[in-house]
Amino acid sequence: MDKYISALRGGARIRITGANTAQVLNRCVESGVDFGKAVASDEFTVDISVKRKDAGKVYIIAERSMCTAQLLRENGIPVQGRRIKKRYVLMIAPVLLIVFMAWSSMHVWDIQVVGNETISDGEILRALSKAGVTTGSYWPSFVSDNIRSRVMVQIPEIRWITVNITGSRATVLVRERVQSPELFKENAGVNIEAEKAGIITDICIYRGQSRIKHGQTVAQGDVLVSGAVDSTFADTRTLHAKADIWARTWYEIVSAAPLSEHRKLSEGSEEKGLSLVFGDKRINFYNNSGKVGENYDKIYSERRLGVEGIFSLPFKLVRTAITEYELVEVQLDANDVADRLKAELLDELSGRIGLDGEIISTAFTHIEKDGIIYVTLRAECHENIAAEREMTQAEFLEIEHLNSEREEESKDDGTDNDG
Amino acid sequence: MKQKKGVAMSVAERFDLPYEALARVPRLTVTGGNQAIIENHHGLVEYSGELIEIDGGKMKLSIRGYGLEISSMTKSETVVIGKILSVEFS
Repeated sequence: MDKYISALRGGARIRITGANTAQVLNRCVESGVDFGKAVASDEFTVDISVKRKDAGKVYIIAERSMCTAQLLRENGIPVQGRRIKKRYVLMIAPVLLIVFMAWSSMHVWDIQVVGNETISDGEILRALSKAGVTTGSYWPSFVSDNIRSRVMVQIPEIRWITVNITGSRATVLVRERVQSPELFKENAGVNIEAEKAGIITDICIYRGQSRIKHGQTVAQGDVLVSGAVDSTFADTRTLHAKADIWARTWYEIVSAAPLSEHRKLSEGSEEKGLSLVFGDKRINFYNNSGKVGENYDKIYSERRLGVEGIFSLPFKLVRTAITEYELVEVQLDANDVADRLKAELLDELSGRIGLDGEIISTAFTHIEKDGIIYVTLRAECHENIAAEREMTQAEFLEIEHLNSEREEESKDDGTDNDG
Repeated sequence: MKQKKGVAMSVAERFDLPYEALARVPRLTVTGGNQAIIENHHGLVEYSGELIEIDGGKMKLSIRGYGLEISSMTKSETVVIGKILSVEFS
């Protein structure tokens, strides 16, 4: 701390030479001239540091003690200030820098979106831009309620949004709307159909009327459990059928891949360039910013200037590396390609049978034709094939027709009994 | 042989007061053999990189070592830094 205070008020380094330097030091102290860093280079010489304003007193004291005092150097802000008194640019530059920093801190130069899961950052940033929150915006003019209402109108999936400003960084906190679950309608008229063809192994019906038996073979789309339930004394009624129907299923999936691929072979020539991005403007410090040849990779690496997490300047340094390459056709090992395809096919099968499904057995075959390898997976699985499907209009009409026929029959029976 | 206590020390002991303030003698604090703080001094007697002699009023305080220098000096306090080998009172 003393170091900074000393720098603020300015200091002087003085060399005292004489027969009795200790007396000079004593007299300095007696006169109220505090000193420091007293280094005796020999018996008759001592260097001391004093406040700049006390330097004159030291000369007088040294003279009265039959010694000589010599100013070695002066330092501190007052001395530096005196030096740059005539250098107007140096005087103006710090002021301009401070003004620029103050102006810059009032603007947003970095926007981060957090809390979004299904809505993309880009979508939110576009909506924010329309609401006035974009790179370079003057953040004191932000009104949270306005931003929130304008963004929520554009993106109805957002339940709540707020913009927190830290230095020049805007952190946009998003909370997405939770979709209400679909209600289970008891009398909706839903059948359970076979999602895949197979042989029924287990039947577990919670609601509805069974149309299948254990061990029965079903085709895709067959009605397994009907939502139309017959009644002995009343009309046929519709309900939302629910069931788990387990069956043995078989799959045959084919995947193909070429036995050669194009790879990039670097030609060794690499061009590097530096750009400065200010808001939406970009200044390139290199020539030939366009493409170099037919095949080239352009890799950008950005670096934002400022203090990470606290303050960021409106500049971004962008390094560009342009590397030319040549496309070379490379022959691949057939076994490696086949193994890769097998793994992909197993992933595909796992996706098709779902999390509760089970693979009982698998078999792979592969053939090569015209530079392409075809891998076939044949698998037997055990899975739940029940799939809900709403009844069609024709099915409803059929039920109504059935009910009206039954009503007429019951009327006829009543007339016969009366007769 | 019982040594006779001074008046200042007796008073300081009785009233629990700092002795150096009453007796006007220097107070020396040495830290780690690299720093010595001398309070209540009366000025320098001799000063070099190997020896610093300080007037303590009733006594003279000699600090011997090498690379000695006065880090700061005010009316009431002197701070000596450097490699301190010995301190003598005479």
